[in-house]
This record gives sequence, C-alpha cells and structure tokens, in this order.
Amino acid sequence: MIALIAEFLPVELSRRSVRITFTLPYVAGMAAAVGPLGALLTDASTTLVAGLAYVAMKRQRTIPIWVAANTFVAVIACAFASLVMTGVLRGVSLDGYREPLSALAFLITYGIVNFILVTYLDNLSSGRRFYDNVMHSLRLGVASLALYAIVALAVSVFVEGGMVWMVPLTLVPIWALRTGLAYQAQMYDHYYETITALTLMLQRAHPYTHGHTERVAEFAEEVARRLGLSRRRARLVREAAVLHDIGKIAVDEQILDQPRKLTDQELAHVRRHPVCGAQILAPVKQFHEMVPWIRYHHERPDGTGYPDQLTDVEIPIESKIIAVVDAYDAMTGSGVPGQQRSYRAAMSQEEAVTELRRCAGTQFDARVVAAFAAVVAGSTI
Amino acid sequence: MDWVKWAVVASAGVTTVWLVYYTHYYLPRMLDERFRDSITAFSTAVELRFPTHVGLTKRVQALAFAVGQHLKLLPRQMRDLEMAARLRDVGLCAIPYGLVNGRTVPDWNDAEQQTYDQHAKVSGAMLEMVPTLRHLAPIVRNHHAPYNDGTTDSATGQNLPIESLILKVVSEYVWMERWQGPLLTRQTINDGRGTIFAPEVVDALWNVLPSSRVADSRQNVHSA
Repeated sequence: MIALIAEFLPVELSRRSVRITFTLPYVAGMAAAVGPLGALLTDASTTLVAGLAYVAMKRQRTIPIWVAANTFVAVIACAFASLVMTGVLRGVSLDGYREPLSALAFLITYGIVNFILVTYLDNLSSGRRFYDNVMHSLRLGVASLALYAIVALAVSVFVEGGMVWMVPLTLVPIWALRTGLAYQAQMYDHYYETITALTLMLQRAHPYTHGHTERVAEFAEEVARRLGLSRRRARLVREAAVLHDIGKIAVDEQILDQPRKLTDQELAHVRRHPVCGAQILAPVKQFHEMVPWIRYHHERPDGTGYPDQLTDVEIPIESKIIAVVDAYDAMTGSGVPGQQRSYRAAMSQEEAVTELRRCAGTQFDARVVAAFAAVVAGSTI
Repeated sequence: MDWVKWAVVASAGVTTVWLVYYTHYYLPRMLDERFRDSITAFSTAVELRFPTHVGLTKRVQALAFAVGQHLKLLPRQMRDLEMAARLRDVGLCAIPYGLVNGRTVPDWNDAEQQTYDQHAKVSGAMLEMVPTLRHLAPIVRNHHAPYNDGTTDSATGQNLPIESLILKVVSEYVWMERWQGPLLTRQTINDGRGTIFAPEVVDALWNVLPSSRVADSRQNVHSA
C-alpha cells in the first residue's frame, strides 16, 4: 500500500520527459522482509496500477505501450535483484544483519538493472545519447539512491523488529526528496526560460537576430567540442552564443539597419553592446561564468578590439569561438533571404572561410579558425 | 535492536530532518532568488534601452507594494504584484528606440502614443511564452487598461485583476510625476478616479504616499 502511495507521487522532469517515482525502497524492504516473490508482485502491481491510472487520467506522455514497458522493466529488474540478493544471503553468515544487507543488495542491483533498461528504451524511442543519459541520471541518481538505501534499511529494520506501524513514517523523507527534485526541475526549467525570455526581448528589438543567434549557437558548440572543451563547457558556450548579442537591446535599430558604413559616432553607439550585454546578464548568478565571454566577444588577438582592447592571452577561448562564428554568420547571412547585413552582399561559405583564414592571428584566433573551418567542412547546419 | 540497527534508524531520522529543511526552506528561497535575479536582468535590459526609465521600476514596485499592503492583498497576490511591477515593461523593447530616447512625451503625436501604449500587450504576449511567468500575463497585459470601459481583454474594470488596477494607478502616477510634478499629477489622477482609475486604489495611493515620501527622504538622507 505504501509502495503504491509512493508510486503516485511522481516528479515530472518536463524538459527531459522523465517521470521519477519512489517505490524502490519499499520494494527492497519487501524483498528483504517477505522475500523475492512478494517484492516482485508488489513492484509489478504498483507499476501496472499506477500506469493504468495515469492512462485513465490522460496524463501527458503516458500511453499503454509505456505502461507495459515499465511493468516489464520492473519485473526484469526485480528478478535480477532477487537473484543477487539470494546470493548475498547465501554468502553472509552474520546473524541479525541479513535483512538490511539483503535490502541493500536488492536496491543497488535493481537500480543498476533498471537504469540500463530504461536508458536503452529511451535511446530506442528518443535517440537520446547513452552518455547524456548517464550524466543526467548520475547527478539525479546518486543522492536519491543514498536516501533510498537509508529508507530501505530502515524499512527492513522496522519490519524485522516487529514495528511495522513505523514504516509509514518513512514516507516523510521520500516526500521531502520528491519536493527537492520538483524544485530542482523548476530551477532547471527557469534557467532555460530566462534565456528564452531574454532572446524574445532581443528579437522584439531587432527582429533580424532571429535565426542568427540559433545558427551561431549550434556552430559555437561544435567548435567548442572540436577544441576539446568539456561537454558542460561546450553547452555553456552554446548558451552564451544564444545570448551574445543581448546587449543590442540597448542599441538603436535604425543605426543597425543603416544601408551604409556607420559614422564614428554610430559605431561607438553600436560598440556599447558587449558591455550592455554583460550588464544585463550580471544579476543572474547562473550566467556569471558567461558574462566575461559576452563582454569580450569583440576583442581581437592583436589588441585592437573592443571594449577593453585585451590582448590574445587575456581573451577567453569561449569569446574567441563566439567571435569567429558570429563573424562567419554575419558574412554569409547563412544564405537565408533577408538575413544578410544591409550594408554588404552576402558571401559564399568558401569566401567567408577564406576571409576568416586571412584574418586569423589578427582579428581571430588561428586555432579557433582552423577548428571552425573543419566544422564547416563537415557540417550540415 | 542492537546498536547497528539503532544507528540505521537514527541516521534515517537525521537525514529526514536535514532533507525537510533543505527542501522546504533552502530550495524555495534559492528558487525565489533566481526569479528575482532574472527579473532584475529583464529590468536592466529595458533601462539600458531607455535610460529615461531608470529608477521608474524601483519606485513603481515600492509604491505598488505599499498600496497592496494597504488594500490587504493576500501574500500570493503581493508576490504577483511585486513581480508584475518589475516585468510590466519588458514589452518596451519592441518600442522604437528613437521614440523614447531624445524625445519627451509631449512631443509625441497620437500614432506615436498608440505605438508606445502597445507595450502592455507586448509584455503580456512575451510572458505568455514563458511557462513559469505565464500567470502574470493577464496582470501585465492590463496594467494600462482603463478602469471603467473597454480594455485589451474587453473586460470591465471590475473584472480586471486587482494587481492590474494597482499598477495602472501607480505606474501612471510615477510616470506623470516625472513630467508634470506631483501636484498636477495628483489632480489628473483625481480627475480620472472612478473612470480611468479604480477609486479604492486611488484612495489607497493617497494614503500611502506621505509615508512613502518619508521613506524616500530617509533613504536619500542615508545614501547622502
């Protein structure tokens, strides 16, 4: 019954299309106290009943085939965990600790088998990469599994000690964990919604930026990976690239759309945008890492860039990546009608790369230009 | 039970207490802080585009909060009011740069005034696209809607959210005060009491204004 209650308290991680439930510690406790068959029946029946209830309630992304798949996964994970638990029981001679150790062995095995099967199914259905799933699940899973272990141990101790009436109390930490995961999901969503909202503001001020930032973001992430930056950093470069022109909100659109070369005064006005971008993003703590990247994305290795005339070694590699990709997109307009800059005709892909190479070492970082040229050569973006 | 089992139960208890604290005290505060940070970023963007708006949001937010308290709004309404006060002008980024910078309100013709007035609608439309802020969209969309006749939502004043009615009075008071001074602004607001502006909000504003002025002057003394 408590397992069923825990099954009905899922957390939806909407952006990752994942639903997390909290039955495992109770199933592990059952396995240790009642035996593998009891655990298997409990797990399979709770998964099935809750799944069918969600279908009846028309909860999003719950379809009968997934209910069957979830039940199937639960049965297999339960069977493997029972086998391992039985092996542990056979090998351990310490009297009095059999139940807690059994619960622990069951829980860990179940967690691993369940993870492998779910990741495989996810890979089949959505094509999400195994590595990405492992990273997401590790972050979410390690803390949860540690709590599950404590709860499963407590459940087995209560059952073995004849204090079954204490078992419902273990729903309190499970409820707290659920609340914590829900908050973390909200924070995750909020981060991306902030980026979306800022992008919307920029697009309202300068409609031509629509499309430009997305293309720059895709290339920037690819170049970052090719240059050996970690996945996390490459993802941050992508997000910084989406926001790199956010400071243009503070720029007069009539000046940006001039069909001629800008005067010195107009140029000075446009050149405020990296500083304004950094000012806009500075209040958001999650953006702190990318604020300097955005401030310096118009700096040049030869020290003649703006706003701070930094020299080569002082410019972050992330800014150099954004600078190259931004310039390429500005030169090509990516072949999209109406996306070309108004003061000059769009270049072809080859011409733009040649131009980047010509400016490598002075306006752009040579290593970044080489990586970018390689990305463009094999790109379908 | 032997000591090992007691240790298991005790560690479960300690973990539970810590987890409850973390998830019901620490995380909500962190999320709230992140909301405020993001909203500050949006306001900064608007103020950088239109420097004449620097300080407006802070003043509107403070006055709206005081009026909301005077009208005994619920905590949830107060939170929405505070957020909407800071987000109400995000749509200004769609207003032409040259319309506000280097020109004053009296210079505008009717078409330009209408263009400027679109910002409430644009702000509302933008918030609609952000799920965690969507609930503020009706408040923001109607924050310049007149009290007693057609509005952007074709609702009558009485059907508008109280938060919108408060923002209407407060934001227009703060805006007009800049151009025509407090005395003429008070008269203009009083002239529109019951027609353009919700009467109970106007009364509340006159009640809280002296104390807010005292607070302002105190703040100025401190900052000086």
